Amino acid sequence: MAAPESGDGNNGAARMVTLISSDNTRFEVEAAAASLSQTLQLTILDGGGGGGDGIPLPNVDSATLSKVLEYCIKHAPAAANGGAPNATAVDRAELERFDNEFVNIDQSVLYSLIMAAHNLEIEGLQSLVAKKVADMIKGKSPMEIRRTLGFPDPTPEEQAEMNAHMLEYGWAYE
Amino acid sequence: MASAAALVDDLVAEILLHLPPHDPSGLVRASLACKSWRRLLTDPAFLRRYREFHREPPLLGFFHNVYAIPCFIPTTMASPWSERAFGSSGWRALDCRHGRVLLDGMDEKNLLVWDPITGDRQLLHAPDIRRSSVSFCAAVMCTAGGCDHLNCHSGPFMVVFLGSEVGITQACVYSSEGDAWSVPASVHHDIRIGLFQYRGVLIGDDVFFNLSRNTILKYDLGTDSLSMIDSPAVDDHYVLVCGKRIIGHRKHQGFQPLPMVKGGNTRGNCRMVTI
Repeated sequence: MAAPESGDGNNGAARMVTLISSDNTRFEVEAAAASLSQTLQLTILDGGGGGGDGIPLPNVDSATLSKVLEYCIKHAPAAANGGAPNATAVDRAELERFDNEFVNIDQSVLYSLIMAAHNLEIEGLQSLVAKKVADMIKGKSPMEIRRTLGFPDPTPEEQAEMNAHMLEYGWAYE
Repeated sequence: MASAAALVDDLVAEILLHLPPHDPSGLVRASLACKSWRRLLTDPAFLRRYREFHREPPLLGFFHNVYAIPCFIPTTMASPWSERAFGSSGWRALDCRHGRVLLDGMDEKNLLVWDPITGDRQLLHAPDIRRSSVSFCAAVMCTAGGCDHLNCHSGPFMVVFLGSEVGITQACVYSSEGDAWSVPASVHHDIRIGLFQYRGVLIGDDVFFNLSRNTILKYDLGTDSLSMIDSPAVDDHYVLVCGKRIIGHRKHQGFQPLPMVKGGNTRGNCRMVTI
């Protein structure tokens, strides 16, 4: 009996691709999940990533790639369904719950994730992380925003400029 | 270890895009956090993207006439405008739409179109139509073709003005492009009814106003004609709507702001104009 061909056959064997992180770790993942990345989708459509080859991702380390793929695997079925217009409320609630927990992580991981999402053009993931960071600074003063995001303390010149702007926009601090 | 300071402008912009529009002070505070953020947040290209991303403009507050002073009542936590934002007495807010406030000079001579965002004020002579001193109303709206009204400051606008006298209501339209009022259109009706000074409602090409005795007047902007519609009895209940939001209602017993209206300014028998 012949081995099933790789590809989107009807026999349930989904096509797999291999991604290689910057620290040379290999990840085997369904092509449908990796295709959430617009960048990877083109390579995969061209037949890349299969067999022993693998697609090198020199800008993404293994820890970040692992998280990225966790997101892609979870979101792939809905994405394959064209944004899942027929998804049930339960499915949507489950994805929302997943997303909320997914971004409940250290800030440094958030920034690595958003940079990877940007490089790989994964719009949903980029937007999810951006919203999380926006939520972290929402309602905070400029100094609190700086501290929250780990910016260095302002120089005396920067501080003077901030003070002048705060005077001008006093209404925003009431 | 990745840090926020290492993010490229595209990603910072993506984050700032998600700051909620219903709290404009959040954008101001973020703009003071660091220089590069300030540069991004004041870039017209970013602001255009921000408006397109959020689509529906935020409700910043509404105007509420207290005697001869149009008071601004903010509905956001912090607001760039104080209650006395208009700054002059002797005017009453009649309408507010597409970022412009229409005020009545209370002397039957002057109207004023004010843009609170840019500060522009344009004085108009009231049209020469028959009206009693209390039976008139008006609406202001943007007339730029295909405009989404997200940023149509200083664009063309029109004012629809209606005045009632015993047995007749007349309407005419001011166009900022022609700087002139149109020839009045008229409708005759029962001598006992007149115009309520409530805000008009714009739906498509029609503007609707309240006549007393459960009657609605329709001004058709396409044909410049006036007509009357009988409305169902509504038990003297008046609801103000801004976009999809109801911001308050009024009965004979007085004005009752809904919980979302900050300040709870509950002066009796008042009228609100949404911004």
